[in-house]
Amino acid sequence: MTGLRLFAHGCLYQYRALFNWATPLGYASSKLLVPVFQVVFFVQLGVFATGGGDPTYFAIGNAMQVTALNGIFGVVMTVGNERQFGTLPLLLASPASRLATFLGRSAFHVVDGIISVVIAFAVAQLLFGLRLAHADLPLLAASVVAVALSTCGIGLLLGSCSLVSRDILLVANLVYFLFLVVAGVNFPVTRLPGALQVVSRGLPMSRGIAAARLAVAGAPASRALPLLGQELLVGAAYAAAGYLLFRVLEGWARRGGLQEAF
Amino acid sequence: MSVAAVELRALRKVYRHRHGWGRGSAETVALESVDLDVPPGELFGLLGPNGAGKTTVVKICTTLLLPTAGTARVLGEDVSQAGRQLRQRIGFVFGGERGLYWRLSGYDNLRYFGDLYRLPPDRARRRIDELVQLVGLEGRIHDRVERYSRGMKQRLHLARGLLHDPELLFLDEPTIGLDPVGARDLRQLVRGLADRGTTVFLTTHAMLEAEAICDRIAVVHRGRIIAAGAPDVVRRQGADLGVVEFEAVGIDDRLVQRLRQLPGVEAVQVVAGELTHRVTVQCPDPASLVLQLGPCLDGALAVGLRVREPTLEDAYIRLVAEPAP
Amino acid sequence: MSVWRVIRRTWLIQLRLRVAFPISYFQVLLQPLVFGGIGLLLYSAGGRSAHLAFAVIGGGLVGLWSVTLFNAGFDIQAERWAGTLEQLMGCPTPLAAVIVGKIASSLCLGLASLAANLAVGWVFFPHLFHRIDAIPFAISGALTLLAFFAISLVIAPLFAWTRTAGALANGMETPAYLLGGFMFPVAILAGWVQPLAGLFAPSWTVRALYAAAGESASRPDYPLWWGLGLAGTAVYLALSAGLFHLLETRARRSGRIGFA
Ligand SMILES: Nc1ncnc2c1ncn2[C@@H]1O[C@H](COP(=O)(O)OP(=O)(O)OP(=O)(O)O)[C@@H](O)[C@H]1O
Ligand SMILES: [Mg+2]
Repeated sequence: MTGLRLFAHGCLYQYRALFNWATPLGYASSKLLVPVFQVVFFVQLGVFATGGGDPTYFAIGNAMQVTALNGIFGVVMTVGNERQFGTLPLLLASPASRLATFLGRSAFHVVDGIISVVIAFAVAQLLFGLRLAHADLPLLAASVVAVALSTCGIGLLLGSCSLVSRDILLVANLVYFLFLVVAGVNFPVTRLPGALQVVSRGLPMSRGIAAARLAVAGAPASRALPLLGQELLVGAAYAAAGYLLFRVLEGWARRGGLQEAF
Repeated sequence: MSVAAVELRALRKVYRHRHGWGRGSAETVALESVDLDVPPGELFGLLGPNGAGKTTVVKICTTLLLPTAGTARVLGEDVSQAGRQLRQRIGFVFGGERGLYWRLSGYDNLRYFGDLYRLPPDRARRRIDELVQLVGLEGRIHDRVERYSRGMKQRLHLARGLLHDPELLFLDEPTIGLDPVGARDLRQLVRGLADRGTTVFLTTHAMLEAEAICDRIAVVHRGRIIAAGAPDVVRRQGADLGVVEFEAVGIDDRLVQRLRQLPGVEAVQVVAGELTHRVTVQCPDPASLVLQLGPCLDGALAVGLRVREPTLEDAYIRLVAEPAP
Repeated sequence: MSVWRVIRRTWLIQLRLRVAFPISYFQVLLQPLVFGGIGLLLYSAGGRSAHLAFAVIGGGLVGLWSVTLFNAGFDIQAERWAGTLEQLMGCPTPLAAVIVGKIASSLCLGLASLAANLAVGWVFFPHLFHRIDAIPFAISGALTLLAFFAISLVIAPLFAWTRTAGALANGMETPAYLLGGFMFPVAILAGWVQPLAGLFAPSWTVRALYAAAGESASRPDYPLWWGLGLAGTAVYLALSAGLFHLLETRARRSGRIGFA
């Protein structure tokens, strides 16, 4: 019960922190401008560069990739901010449930990420007329949720890392851009060199995007669901690793080993 | 005749702050109406409690802030109009550790500010060597500022403020955060500067600091000057009063309130100690107050009672004391 | 005279600091490579491999823009956080001189980014470079740099104005790729976007740049494009001067120079 309240509180705190940090204008601009322009840019580039390719292909990939903004930057910044403002030691010292605190921090970003994708899809539909006639919409929605969850998983791991390294935003940037290249956002994973295909399999997102493409094409759910299952598993693995690291760091912090990190 | 270093007339500053989108705005009157004259060559101290408006005065004088009304003339120039030329003639140092490039060495900081104050490179070099000696940073000047202690940063700040040999130096709480020894050293440095002819305008809320080095002081409270003159003169403003001082156990707000309401009491100060509170009461007739204390203390224990002459600190406390309700 | 010294010293110090800061490498090297790489894969997929220049040069332009935009957005903000903004405002040198020095240093990094991308491109696709008409290419490149410089000078005081610098910086990154025609011709965008792109000075100089690299549907009209690019740049510079003035007056009135 306390766990649940803490979870809710974590969400609320998240939400407020975001709004305080960025005024409504700032929030709107990162909420609207970034996803919308990313989709528009890559659709235009893709269609022109491939000599009249299908805009739907690029729109789906990029709309889904937008969740990485929340899942990675949102979650990492949350933990990073806490370090910056010196509240982390307080948090570590509190008797609250670790897991609830930890997950509460990311829950807001899952929801926020889903909203971003919906906006991105809406804009793509408006500007480029996506062909969603055959689409299995519930399956598409499931894909969006799965990707939002799995990117938060990797965000939690990076967030834990950011407790010890100041340069983790750099890694977050790297992962964000890696998604653009290796996750089948703008071209199929199979077109990548072998090494990058391996990287792709080790990261979340590619399976979720593949499932979303199947959903839009109206393929049977039996083909997409295994992909979504794998997507969630990968995300859960990252989240678990992040949680473990968090506990380890917490132990260090208790024994004073993390002093210089704060 | 020489122009005043600082001349403030009916100076007023009102800060407006917006609360955010569509949530209205509020105003803070930082300076009600301030009149002040500082002749050249003086070491002048502006005293006042937190939020009295000291920093606001300094910022207006250093062209960082525009007055809402009234005039401020610094070295004969009106600060609202003045720009580059005036900035070249004055220096300023704000207390605290910020305001330096932490990732550069102390030397690089000084060289950069030398450029910003338009010193020719060779003159800057000589001047930096001089100042590094003066503020005692010789051994560490090539270290990065982030590795400096607070006192070292403060001294680097002072060197920075003096780089271009200003006629007039503003120091806003220069000893804030320094330990007693560091603060004393810094005060001696400042006194030395003034003795060599630089006009110094410093602010502080530490009475002793002002008494120790200032030629003249003024007390600002709630945006007005409520006393001005040589430290002696300001002290004598309370000379008609006596001070009753004692240590007490079991003091609470209600009791302090009762003390304040005793006839003739002008000011009551309570400073918490480890076990006891030190209570200071100012009134015209200490002898009769002592007689009234017993019933008033009502069970609280008072020890070490003594009656003494007021110090400058007492004068200051009386000046900025809340008026009795 | 002394202003030049400030600009030069700021440039040097900032360059040194930025080189010591890993995020600059990231922007300088990785981002252009990622965009260049995506461009290559896309352009070589369809029947458009003739247009590979859009990937090779485009990646570099994306890098140049991002470095410029982010640094310019945070140049004044960083001084504010360090508490040095007050010192800068209170000294006899105009704040703009300091910012010019800082922007010059980030443009140098951006240029390194462009150069790195072109070098990689040159190794793998030398034929693209045989097509380049060197003189107009160099002039267009220089004018593009100048336009970015002027935009940075607008961005710096503008971002110091709002407290949402970071979010706005994020929001302005990709729109410029589109409007500037960094990776495909502006002409393919919807009609109503064209006037907007026209107001974005780099779109003209970048158009000239690609024309000089053999990527132009029509016969290049360099004098017109350069002229429009320069005119835009001049407007930005005037706008920047006004913004710096406004920033200073507002800071002096509100007393919020030192506040975040
Ligand atoms: N930028 C600002 N915006 C709004 N109000 C301000 C601003 N700066 C100062 N104030 C208010 O103006 C009043 C005077 O402030 P000022 O900083 O001048 O006092 P001070 O005497 O320097 O205090 P301290 O001893 O705490 O430094 C205070 O009430 C303060 O809250
Ligand atoms: Mg102050």
